[in-house]
Amino acid sequence: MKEFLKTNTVTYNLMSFTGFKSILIFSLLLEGPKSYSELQEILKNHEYLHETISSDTLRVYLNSLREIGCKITRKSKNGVTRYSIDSHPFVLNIDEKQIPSIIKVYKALTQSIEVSDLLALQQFFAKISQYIQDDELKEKLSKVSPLYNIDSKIITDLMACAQNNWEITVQYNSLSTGNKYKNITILADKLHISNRKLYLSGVNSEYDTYASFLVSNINNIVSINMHNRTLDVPKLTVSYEYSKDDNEKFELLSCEKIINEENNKLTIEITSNNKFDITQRILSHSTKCKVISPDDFKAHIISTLKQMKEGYIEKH
Amino acid sequence: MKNTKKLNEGCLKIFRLLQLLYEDKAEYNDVIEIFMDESYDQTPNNLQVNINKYFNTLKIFGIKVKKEKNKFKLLSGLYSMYFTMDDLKSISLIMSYLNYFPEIDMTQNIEKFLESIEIRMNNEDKKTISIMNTNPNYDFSFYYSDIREQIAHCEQICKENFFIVVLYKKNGKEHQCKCTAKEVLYNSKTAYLKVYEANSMQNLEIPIGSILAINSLPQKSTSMEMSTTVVYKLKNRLAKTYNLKENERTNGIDEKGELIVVNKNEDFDNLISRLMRYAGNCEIMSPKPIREKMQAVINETLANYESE
Repeated sequence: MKEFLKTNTVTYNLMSFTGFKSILIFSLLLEGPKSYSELQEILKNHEYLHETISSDTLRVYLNSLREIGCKITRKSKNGVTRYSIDSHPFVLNIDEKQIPSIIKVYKALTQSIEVSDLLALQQFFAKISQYIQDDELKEKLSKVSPLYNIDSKIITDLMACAQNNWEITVQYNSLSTGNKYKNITILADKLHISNRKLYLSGVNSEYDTYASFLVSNINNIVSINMHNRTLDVPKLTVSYEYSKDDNEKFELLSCEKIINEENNKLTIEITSNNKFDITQRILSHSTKCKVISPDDFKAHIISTLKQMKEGYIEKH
Repeated sequence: MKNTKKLNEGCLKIFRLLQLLYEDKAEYNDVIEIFMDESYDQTPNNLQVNINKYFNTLKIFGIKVKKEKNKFKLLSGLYSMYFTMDDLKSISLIMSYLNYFPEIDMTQNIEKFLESIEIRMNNEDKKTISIMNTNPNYDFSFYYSDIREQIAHCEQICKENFFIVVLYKKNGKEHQCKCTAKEVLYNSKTAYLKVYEANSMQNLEIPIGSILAINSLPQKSTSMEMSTTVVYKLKNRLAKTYNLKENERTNGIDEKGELIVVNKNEDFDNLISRLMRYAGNCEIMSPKPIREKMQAVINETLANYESE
């Protein structure tokens, strides 16, 4: 052990000189491949060390690094052999017991945040998952986000389009019509998650109707018209009653508001450009829900329910 | 021939110390053991001086360590990972969410994970996170706040693995079921106790707020589960565009253009509520009681409009 220079960070005069050289060599090899002579040069010119170290001594340091779990590779080019650290025991090591907890909290969080934050969160966990050894857990983690398997570039572009109400043409995998890919022009309105799937809602220019498109079916964005246009689609407002259970927390959508609450009976108003979305919402509430107005929408729900009923009677 | 590979004791010592620190296992006694030299009589004073020298060396490289109880704790490590601004935002988001997450074990596990990230973070990133504000649109503070105690109770019951009898309220009526508690589930507003009811062979998700009482029975539950499989078919456009859930399988679209889906382990009420959304494009095929339940739900919903 040597007397050592005082530095701004060290308040004691004494330190482990061998320890210092060990960490220095470790850091140098982690930075990139170095030959013995390059290491010797650096150690010799180091402001604290100024020490000539033999190749034999360096070999002992490298052996010791291997001993503690560093994977050191050796490559020769033009007669010069260089060494570098490929892996070491101090990388992030996520305990398998932590992963189910991470998945659970991640799942809960995905239901409460905006698409942009969800995308960031997904990318963060994708980065972290490289440190998970178990492939099954790694896969589970990757599938938590509803944005799983969707090109993040497409999501980012669609976010900008929806924010500015730009008109875009997308190549859409229209399975329903049997056309493998079809160009659709949409005046983008919003990007949203429904039933754990990401949708782009907007006006379908071909039919001039408001619709939702599964983003996972968008192959690519063909063109963007950056002149923002005003969305001029008639909105539908539906009022319905909902009978709540004691202690039930009604999950209000962003397009809904409670206009009256009496005992456990809520009167809710839902507004959307998309009749289909409202229909699905009402039907999912089933027995707890009754549409109050408008009359034509009420008639639509009754006729849908009658059709469903007939579907069961006819077959059996 | 015996392997005579030479090793450097000092090098081994400093990295063993770092290993203990990274694994959060640097108890005083374990650290002392690394630096004990059996070859000569070391006085306690010499030993302490020696240990201090190694800790000072770590300090030179910016590796910060603090003493906590009988342990040394690593605050910043040997190297730092690269984090984007979005990564930092995500970490901050998780941190603020954890403040309100009711499950203690789970929270502790994630805090441990975040700690291991933090020691691999440079000072700049640490500083950024400390001044980061969460999106003002998010208010996690009210989540589950009124049912925290019940959640803790349910968590405990899940761990104990006894048969239980749950009394809960649904559609204004009291229901009772003998079941095994599986786990606590969360959505954005409330928490559910997922149970397996052997009688009906189904997984139920009971909103914790609607539970009136839980009584544990003396028998331990076995892991045997025979869940009822529900088969339904999807028609028209939906048959072509439907994305199967994790707990579902299919043999693909048949010659009539219909998709037969086999669903397992989903709470029947949740499944029916989901299938109702598909209106006339969906029909439950089997089992008969679930098909009849679906019919009853359609009829009851229609009955809401009877006077119209």
